[in-house]
Amino acid sequence: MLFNSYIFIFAFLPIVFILFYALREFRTTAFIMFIIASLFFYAYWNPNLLFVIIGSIAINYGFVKLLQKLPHKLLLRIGIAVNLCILGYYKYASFFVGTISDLFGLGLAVPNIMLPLAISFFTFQQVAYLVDTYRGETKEHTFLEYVWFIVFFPQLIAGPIVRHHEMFPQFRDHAFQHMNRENIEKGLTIFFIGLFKKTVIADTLAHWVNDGFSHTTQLDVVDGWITALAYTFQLYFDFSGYCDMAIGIALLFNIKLPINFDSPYQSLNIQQFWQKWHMTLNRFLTHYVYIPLGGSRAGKLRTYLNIMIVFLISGLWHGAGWTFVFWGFLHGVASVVCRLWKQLGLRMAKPLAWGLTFLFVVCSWVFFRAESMHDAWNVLSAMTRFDQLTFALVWQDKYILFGLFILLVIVIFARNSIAIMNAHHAGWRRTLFVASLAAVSILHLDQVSEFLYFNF
Amino acid sequence: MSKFLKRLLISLIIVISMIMTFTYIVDPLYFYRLPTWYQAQYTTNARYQLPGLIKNVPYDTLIVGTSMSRNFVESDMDAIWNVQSYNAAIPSATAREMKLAFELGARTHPDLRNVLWELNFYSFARAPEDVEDEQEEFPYYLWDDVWWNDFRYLFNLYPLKRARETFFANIRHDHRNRDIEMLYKFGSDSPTLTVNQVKELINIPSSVTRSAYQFEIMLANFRENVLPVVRDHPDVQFYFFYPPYGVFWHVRAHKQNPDYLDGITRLKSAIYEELEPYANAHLYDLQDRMDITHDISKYIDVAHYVPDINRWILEVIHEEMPLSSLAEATAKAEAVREQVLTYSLD
Repeated sequence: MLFNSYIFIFAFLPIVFILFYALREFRTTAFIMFIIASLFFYAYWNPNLLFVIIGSIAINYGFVKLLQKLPHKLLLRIGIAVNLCILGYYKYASFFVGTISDLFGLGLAVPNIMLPLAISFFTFQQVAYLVDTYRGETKEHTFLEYVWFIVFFPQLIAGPIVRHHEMFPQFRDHAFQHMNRENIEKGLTIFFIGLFKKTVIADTLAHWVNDGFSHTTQLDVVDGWITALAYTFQLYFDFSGYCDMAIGIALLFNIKLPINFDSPYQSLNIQQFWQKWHMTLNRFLTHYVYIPLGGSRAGKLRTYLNIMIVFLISGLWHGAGWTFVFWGFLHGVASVVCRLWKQLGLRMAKPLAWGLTFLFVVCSWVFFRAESMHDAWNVLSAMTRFDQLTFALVWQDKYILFGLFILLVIVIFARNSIAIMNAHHAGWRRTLFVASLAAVSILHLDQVSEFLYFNF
Repeated sequence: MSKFLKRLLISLIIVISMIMTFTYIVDPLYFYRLPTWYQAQYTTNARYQLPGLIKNVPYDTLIVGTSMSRNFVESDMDAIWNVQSYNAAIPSATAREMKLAFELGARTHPDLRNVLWELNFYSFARAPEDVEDEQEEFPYYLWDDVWWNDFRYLFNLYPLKRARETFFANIRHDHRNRDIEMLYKFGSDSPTLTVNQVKELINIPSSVTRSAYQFEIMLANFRENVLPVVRDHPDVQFYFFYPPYGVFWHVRAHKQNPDYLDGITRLKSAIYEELEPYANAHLYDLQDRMDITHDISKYIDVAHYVPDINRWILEVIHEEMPLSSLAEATAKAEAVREQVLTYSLD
């Protein structure tokens, strides 16, 4: 089910909300209701998906129980390997078979395996839980709490990726099922901001993005820039909009999710960008990949290698394709260069630093979105054909260019949704602002579209 | 309820009411009235535009059908039949959509006298309740008689977009799509087919000609979407006709589906039997007219005939007698089968 759908906003969410607080005196029943609701939310499009997520939860909980009794590293490794095998089968089998077949000219039949929704998210969350269980951090958790933690519908499909110590204390709090006025007000505020970002901004930009990336050989310099910039903003408003909605919905149930975006396009270098973009994934990779690999403690060369490994994994996590791997590689190289730059004590003027970072991010997103490396090169080469640039060419696309300029100003100078939510008050201007966002967003619901991060 | 939530609710009601009031006053799809205070520009999205026109255009004769009927020019029909007509044909219409069009017309025009109804096998080959909604949601709320779901129209982005486009069309003096009669007409300047094109097209699979065309489904569809309408409106004269597809269209369908000919031949006899008890039903089979169906120069693509054929159909139905016996209906259906099986382009 999509957050940006009538059925979710006007049926599913109100029903779950009412039941959740109506069952205040029956905690276990409320938990079971919430779990069933979350699974219904997950499998709304395709009930077959339930087998994968329930199977994954059952297997992982088995490992959790084993690790609680026998916290042996080998068991943890087996648990992680099983998770990676499941993820590998569903997400990467086609990619690897295709690649091997192409490399060695084997002509193998590439399996067509359906990718279960959000498998990357719930797999990573469970791997983290296994590691934390091995570290002895999860002893008191019950089965119901574990399932609730994994399938909690506001963040099940596309994150933020949460850790157990952020969630369990919240739903063990005695005030968990007591209506909290401030949480509901803040939740509604950020939910409608997110809905507006998704339905009005991201989905409008999708028109130019899809058009540009499906005609990469026909792009002129202006089209090339429009395509790349439109995708840069589409991805941000789409994914951060989703996360805003997730945070807002969770707040309606008194759960505070970690923030996932902190105005990333204001970053002055690529390291900063990754501290502000998809922050919970970055945190996961730091905790569970970078640090176990040795982090920055094993010498400079090893640090750089670790950074590259983390970003290549990040690329592969986002999608089974060489474009994603290359995108990860680019960010890895940029992060290494950034680190070297800092270590050498070099400095750069802020506007130049921002411009370089933003330009790099825009160009790298082209690989992230393109269907093939060839398409990505087509878009990037179109962006460099400045000899074509004429006033007439620019004027022809004046509306979208103006729109992109406004969005650029917004992402650089405007307060982000978390800041707006935290500055919560009940003034008329604020309520009228939220109501206008809600009304305009609901108007756009007829053009239902998926979130980009559902694919990952 | 907290002050914030109260104010949010009031603000939401104000904003939504303002949007709905704007849509009601401007009425960009002319759902409540034809515009008098600005120049209308109609959308070519028939499923959204036609309900308003079917409701508000004055007529006593309605045309329902698919794109094969779109080129019936109302003024031609008015002159030949001495009626006041409106063409409510919908491209790729299913039988259910035709029924919805008729029912909307009948509800809003108590003086409706005649209906010219195209019986297209394509429209009957799907489940009886099917509408065309692959590209976008079918706007039932515009076609039904439920008043409260009008909010789907009043609080909807599409009419607002239409209002914006009409506004800009007016300030830019864009005169396209302003004439209701010529709104959906097409093909008058299209080149006609050549033998080579037909030879090629005849072998290209098409989702239309690949349809199942199962006799039972088509008959069930007819019984659910057409027959009750005839029965419930004894004061309305129904003129049903099978559109004169080029013979090569049937040939292609037959090539892709060996049951096609059998299905349509049986259906024609069955439809005659179903309609026979109703004095207000008149059935015409134009598919055996070889002077039309075998003349490639009368078609602009593998399905559609040139607009002149629509005028010819109006004349034929006005001047000739409908099918008068099961034997005649069956004989005409068999004749089409024979023509298809013996057709050669050489």
